[in-house]
Amino acid sequence: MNHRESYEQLRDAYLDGTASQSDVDDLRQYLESSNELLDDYIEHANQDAALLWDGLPDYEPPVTQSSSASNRMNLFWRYAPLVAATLLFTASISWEWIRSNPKPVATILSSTNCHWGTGTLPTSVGQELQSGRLRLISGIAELQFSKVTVSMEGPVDIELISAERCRLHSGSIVGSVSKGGEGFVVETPGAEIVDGGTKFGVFVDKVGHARLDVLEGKVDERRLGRGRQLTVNTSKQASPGENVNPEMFWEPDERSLENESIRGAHDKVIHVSSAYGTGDEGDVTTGPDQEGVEFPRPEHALLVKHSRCQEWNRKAFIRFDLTSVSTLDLSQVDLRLEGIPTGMGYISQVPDSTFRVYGIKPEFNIDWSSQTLNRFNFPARLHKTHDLDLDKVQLLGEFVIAQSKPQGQFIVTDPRLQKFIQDGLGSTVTLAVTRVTPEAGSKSYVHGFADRTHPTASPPTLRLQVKPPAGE
Amino acid sequence: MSDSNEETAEFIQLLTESQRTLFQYIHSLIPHRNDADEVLQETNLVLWREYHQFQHGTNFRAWACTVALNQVRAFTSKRRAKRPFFDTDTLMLISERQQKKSAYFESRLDALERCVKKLPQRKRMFVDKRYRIGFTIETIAKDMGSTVDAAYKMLRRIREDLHTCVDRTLSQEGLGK
Repeated sequence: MNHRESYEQLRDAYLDGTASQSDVDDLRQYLESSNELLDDYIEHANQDAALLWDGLPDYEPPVTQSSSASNRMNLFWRYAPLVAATLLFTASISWEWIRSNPKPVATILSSTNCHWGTGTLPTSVGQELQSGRLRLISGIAELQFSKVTVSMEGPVDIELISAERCRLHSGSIVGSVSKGGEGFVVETPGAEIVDGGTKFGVFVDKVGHARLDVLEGKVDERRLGRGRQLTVNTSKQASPGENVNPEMFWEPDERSLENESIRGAHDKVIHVSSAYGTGDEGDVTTGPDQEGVEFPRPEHALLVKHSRCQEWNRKAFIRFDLTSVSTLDLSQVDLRLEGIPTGMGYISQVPDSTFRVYGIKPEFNIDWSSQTLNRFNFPARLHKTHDLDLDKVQLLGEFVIAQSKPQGQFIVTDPRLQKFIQDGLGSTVTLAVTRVTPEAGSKSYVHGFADRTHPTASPPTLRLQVKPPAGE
Repeated sequence: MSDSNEETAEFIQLLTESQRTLFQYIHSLIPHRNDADEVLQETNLVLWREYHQFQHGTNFRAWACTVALNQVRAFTSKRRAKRPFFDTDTLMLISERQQKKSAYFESRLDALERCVKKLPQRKRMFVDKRYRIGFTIETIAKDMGSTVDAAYKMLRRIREDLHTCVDRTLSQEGLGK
């Protein structure tokens, strides 16, 4: 190794923090011996400092290897958000997920010109999806359930319930059942469609009016206590009560709330995100300073921080619209938040952090809006301060974010949360998320959670698990 | 606005403008993120406390660097047992050189921003993990599925790529050494 190489090795060891005292002494001799090396050292040290201070200009998380063919670039950029979603989702497999072990119910088989809305699931091609909600604003996508393919033509709002069941809130889908997939159910407002091994299209408009188009086979209709059931069969034999019309129209069941309740009971799980209905979210910084040119804030993030310096305390507020689910008996409630990188402060400056979730007591749940939310008007504010008034809130649970993993899915499951949500069914509820753990040093990290506008990560979501009613 | 308020506003402006430079200056003397950050905070406090001694119209950056150097010396003397640092003479040597060629070092940083954007994706991801997120080399190696040695080599290659790119950029702009 020549002198230059030896110097460079010492320089890098010093910059990396791995140099011994002897290395430092050797490096000192090099620096004293030559202005050229002295300049080189300063240039490298400054370079490292600039990267630490500024990070990467305009840096976006890498998405995939692009093809060498130029015409592949359009495809690359089109699907970049989807692939980014894969990376984010992969990163989100935190220990909470592993512990709760949710099973995939479907896979996104393909997507063409897709623009996804604010659902509760990732939207990358090939992604295995747990139960949850997908909103396709435009484009065409195919979902592969175990033995059933469902084509969606945006705009579609669909809820994946299990490998054998989905619920179409609005939009058009076409279901094709492979052999062995008979019995797959598509729920619509007022009716269930049971696929007996054929192909059919369903359209539900925004007010719940629905139409069934039988593309192959026939329909069998039965009235059930919870509405009607339509079975699409390939059978040529007529059976009593068989309806052979190739198209059928129906309206939402008049007993919609009760129906919703029973259908919810049947599927056992309902997802409600902050994007649903009159849901909303926002965060509040307690100090007078606001982000500006000098301190840009990340988009699509709810920021949370606890600082010994009161100026930069931050808390997030999330409202869930539970007005459409009123008579359910819940067996479990999860709050799911997805941590996303904020680029604000240093992770090394904050230890493993405990977060608290509070519910705003109904009598103090003012009608707030993210458009106007600020440190003077947030719900449950302690008079003349920027803190929560603990008499106006209920502690619903805690969760911990490890220093090494501020990103990913965080799940709060707590009997207090369950009771609060159970009591709040039929209304809107507001939750506040705060960090209890203060910084360990200056410029500490500001934690962020995806909001409902985030292009790839899941918005704040309540997962309601419903007790089956007695006798079912 | 009262004199006191005006003075405070002026100080805040000068301090804000010099934070990045101060961090880089301190980092060149004690190149460890947390150490440099701690000294920067201490420096800021001293600058505020001693601001009445600052002669208006003179170079705030130079004055601030002098204060920072004293804070670095105090810091390294306290922490010598914990982590090896340069001795005072070497700190002075680096400090004087930083001050003497400050315009040149500053121009390198402008070019650096453009060079970072040219890094291939894999290297940008590495830089993001190492510098912005603050992962250790061991963690990055684990993420990459490579050895720690290979990760260190990649970091060195990235440093050299950036350094070479900055040299080339300045040379093209007639601002080289």
